[in-house]
Amino acid sequence: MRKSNKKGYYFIIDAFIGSTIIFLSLLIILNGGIKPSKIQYNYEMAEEYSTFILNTKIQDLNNEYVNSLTTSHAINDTTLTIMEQVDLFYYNNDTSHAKFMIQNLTDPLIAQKYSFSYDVIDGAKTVNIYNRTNINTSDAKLVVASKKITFLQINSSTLFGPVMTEIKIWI
Amino acid sequence: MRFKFRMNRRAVLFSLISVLFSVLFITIFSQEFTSTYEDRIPGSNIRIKVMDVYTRNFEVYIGDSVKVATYHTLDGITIYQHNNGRMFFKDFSEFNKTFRDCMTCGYVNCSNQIPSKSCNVGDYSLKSRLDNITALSLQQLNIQTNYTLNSIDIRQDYPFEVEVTVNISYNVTDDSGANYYARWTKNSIITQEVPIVGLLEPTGYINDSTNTYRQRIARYSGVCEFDESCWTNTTTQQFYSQNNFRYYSGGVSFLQRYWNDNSVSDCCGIETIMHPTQLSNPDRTNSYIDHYYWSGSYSCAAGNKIVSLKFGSDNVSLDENTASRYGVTNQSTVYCTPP
Repeated sequence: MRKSNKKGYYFIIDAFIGSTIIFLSLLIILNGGIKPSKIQYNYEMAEEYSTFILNTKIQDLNNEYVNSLTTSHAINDTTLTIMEQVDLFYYNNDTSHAKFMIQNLTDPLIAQKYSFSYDVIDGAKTVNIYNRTNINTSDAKLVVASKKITFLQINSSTLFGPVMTEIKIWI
Repeated sequence: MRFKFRMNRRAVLFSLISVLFSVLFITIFSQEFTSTYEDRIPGSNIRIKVMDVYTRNFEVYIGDSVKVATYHTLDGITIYQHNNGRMFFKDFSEFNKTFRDCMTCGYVNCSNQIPSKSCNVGDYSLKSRLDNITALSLQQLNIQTNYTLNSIDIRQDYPFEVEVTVNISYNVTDDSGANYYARWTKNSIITQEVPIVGLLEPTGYINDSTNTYRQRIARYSGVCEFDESCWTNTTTQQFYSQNNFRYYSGGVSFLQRYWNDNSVSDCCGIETIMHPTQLSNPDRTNSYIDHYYWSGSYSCAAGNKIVSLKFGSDNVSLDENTASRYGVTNQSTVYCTPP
């Protein structure tokens, strides 16, 4: 009787160990296909923000500051995307409006723990439009940048660009 | 001891079976797991996204470049033809060929690029614009772009715009490493409507030996814009004072003016009443409707009665039929009766 009980314990413990090994193996395999790495996540985040700024039209925004610019006719064409409007402000030497527009649009979107900058690279010249710095890039653990080529037809005879717009996020 | 050994052997057997299952699962899924991981690394999918955005942008850029290049090319050709002995093109075919070369490289003949054959387009030739973006993409994004302009054609279906069609082949290749894992190859036909407002009127500019006439196209938008029967002395004077062009079914289209074709264009004819101050020595025996004036076919010498009108301080000459068309006959005096 005692012998038989002892045998049962061994079987139960052994089956439990075996099940645990199989379960852990499956867990490792299945989770491996889902979870992105931290670096990849940050790359994608920078890319997503720059794509949002590149593709979203002014008319699709509901932002108090942007609405005030439209009302005051600082923005006249709401079919332009955010990036094109920044280009237009830059072309007209009105970087102040460009700065506050980017600030108002990105601050609520990007978590405060991240530093953020928006630069226009025009030939050999790099112009910072907006910068939110928690730490210097040289001290950052991770810096990711997303670059987009932008341009804008100003009128029938003038085409601004192409210039490079760089969005940088670091932590 | 004997029992213990037997039990341990069985336990080892069960453990071995479970390990074997684990190995089996890992072996089955490892291939998929590896490829999934490879796909997710930043060097691949992020790179593909960057190139995708660039490629979409590149086509938009071609469209915008075509618009601006067309504008500069049309103005440049007008100036070139004036400077080149005030010559008109022989026909549309010759004009289209010159347009194609001027727009592509900024010279009348792309295979013979000498300063005297420049079309005055500055850095707005299509090649110059496209080279800017391909150099930038290579330098900043490590994206190689090669393109070939297969054809460029211009036509006109509306009075105040021309249509330009560009056939372009291009390929966009990742240039970030030895393995070019991403490449787009495409052939696109890009059509753009380009407004002619703001351009030099070609016939007068090319014709005028005194270099005085520099009328640019501006569009009339008054009450008679679409109603030929509403012209009166008042509306005609307003039209005259605005110095604009208007659609007229019996007029000459903008493009026809490059090869001095004065035949009627139903779709795209435009005309204006010229101001005598725009000319150094206006011929008062000629009708001041621009396409009539430069062709000379509605002058007194060509058998037309010319009447004179007082628009503000200007003395304006019109042929009798046109004066009637604009409803100003009763305000006019006869200036010249044909012999």
